[in-house]
Amino acid sequence: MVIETILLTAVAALTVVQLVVELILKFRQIAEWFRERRSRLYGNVLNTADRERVGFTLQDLMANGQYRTVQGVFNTATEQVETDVRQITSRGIDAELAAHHQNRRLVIYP
Amino acid sequence: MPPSLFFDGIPDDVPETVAAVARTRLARAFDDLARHTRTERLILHVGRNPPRPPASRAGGDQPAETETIEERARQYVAEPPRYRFDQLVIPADQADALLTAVAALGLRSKIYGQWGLRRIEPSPSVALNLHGPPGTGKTLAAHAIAARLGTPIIMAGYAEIESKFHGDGPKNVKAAFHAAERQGALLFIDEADSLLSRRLTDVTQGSEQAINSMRSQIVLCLDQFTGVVVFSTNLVANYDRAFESRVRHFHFTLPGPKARAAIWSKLLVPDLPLDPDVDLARLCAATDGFSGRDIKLAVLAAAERAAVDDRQAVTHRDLETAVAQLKKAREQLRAPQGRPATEAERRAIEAGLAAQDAGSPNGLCGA
Repeated sequence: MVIETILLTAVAALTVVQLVVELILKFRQIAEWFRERRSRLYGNVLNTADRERVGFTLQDLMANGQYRTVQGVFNTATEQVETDVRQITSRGIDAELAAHHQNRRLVIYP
Repeated sequence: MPPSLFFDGIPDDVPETVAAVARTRLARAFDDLARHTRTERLILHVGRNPPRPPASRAGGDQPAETETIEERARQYVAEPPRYRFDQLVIPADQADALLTAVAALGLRSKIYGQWGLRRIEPSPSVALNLHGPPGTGKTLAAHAIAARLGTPIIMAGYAEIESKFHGDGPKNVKAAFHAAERQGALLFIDEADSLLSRRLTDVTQGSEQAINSMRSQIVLCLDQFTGVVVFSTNLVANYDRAFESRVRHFHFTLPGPKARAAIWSKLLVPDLPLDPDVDLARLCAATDGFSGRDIKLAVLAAAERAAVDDRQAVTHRDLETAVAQLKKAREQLRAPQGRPATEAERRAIEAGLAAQDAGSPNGLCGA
């Protein structure tokens, strides 16, 4: 598939994956990461390109009982995952984050 | 033999002769009413305060199966409108369109009956839907419309209509319309997003069927109701087709610079002592993106600050500080809201992550 090919090519160049370990991962931390990232990269100016970016979290409950949450930003126009993905391992997640995911592995934050 | 009547609430210290006369008069009035309505289960409450809803509705675990529509309608009590049109700040053309629509609702029989337009529109509009972001004046507009029509208003939130009991929702819808009809009131249904949305076509659960029943009941009630209904919604992605002709939509937006200036002027009421340093233009510029409700909160917070500090007037600094605090609070509240990924998004993101060895079951921190 064309989109997947583009993504694979683009993401293959990515080298920075931040690894974080938390006891309980809270939704507040997820939201704060998006907020801080946006402020750092784009300031307070919202333009069309910003609206094309959506945040995402992808979450798995692993065999050892820990949660692995991958957080990043996906550009819907270019269909590329942006470079600064982070991965958080935690022993638990708070109720708010659980409510966002419910039974879904992947959640989008417009 | 007529059934016995029960009287409750006559104070013990009222002389029996006075109480007997009161009972006799009430019984006569009740009989007249019962004959007129031909209702077997007529129950009247007489008093200066509205009756409390039955206890079973407040916290019981069982639905009140035998509750009549009259009994159920008692939870919807009309109140005088709290706002007038001159307190509403919306663009002039929108205000004109809104007022015209309201006036036209009262002339339905002339337009669609006498003038025969029902031939080309069998389901004329009977309701207004005010939609837009929170704090943009939808509730205020509903009160203002009621004030303009000279009617009281019944405020019914979606949460009050929806019920945890299967089948209660449609009955509550019917009761709300019944109450509005009986009390000659404008019916305002707040947070009606779910009520006006498209009916579900693939119904698999009882809860989905209940939602569809409620939406169908709304259509029925709209067709029979002779008064004015105003809905308020924040966001409806898909309106049900049945509402396309029956409901007229008005979009409320966040105020622009001119409207913000007008809102500031109205909210800084004449009795509020203001320091001469208050600069309206700077306040307008600082409140870009604020709704009318946000500006009201800023005015109230600034006034509270000045009063607590025992000062005689509200200063520009008070207002500016309140605006800054509101901005900060808004930023903190503006947490992203998640939604499920579409299939295309899921494929693209998972492929992207797999390529950098993150997010796959055996990825970087897989164990």
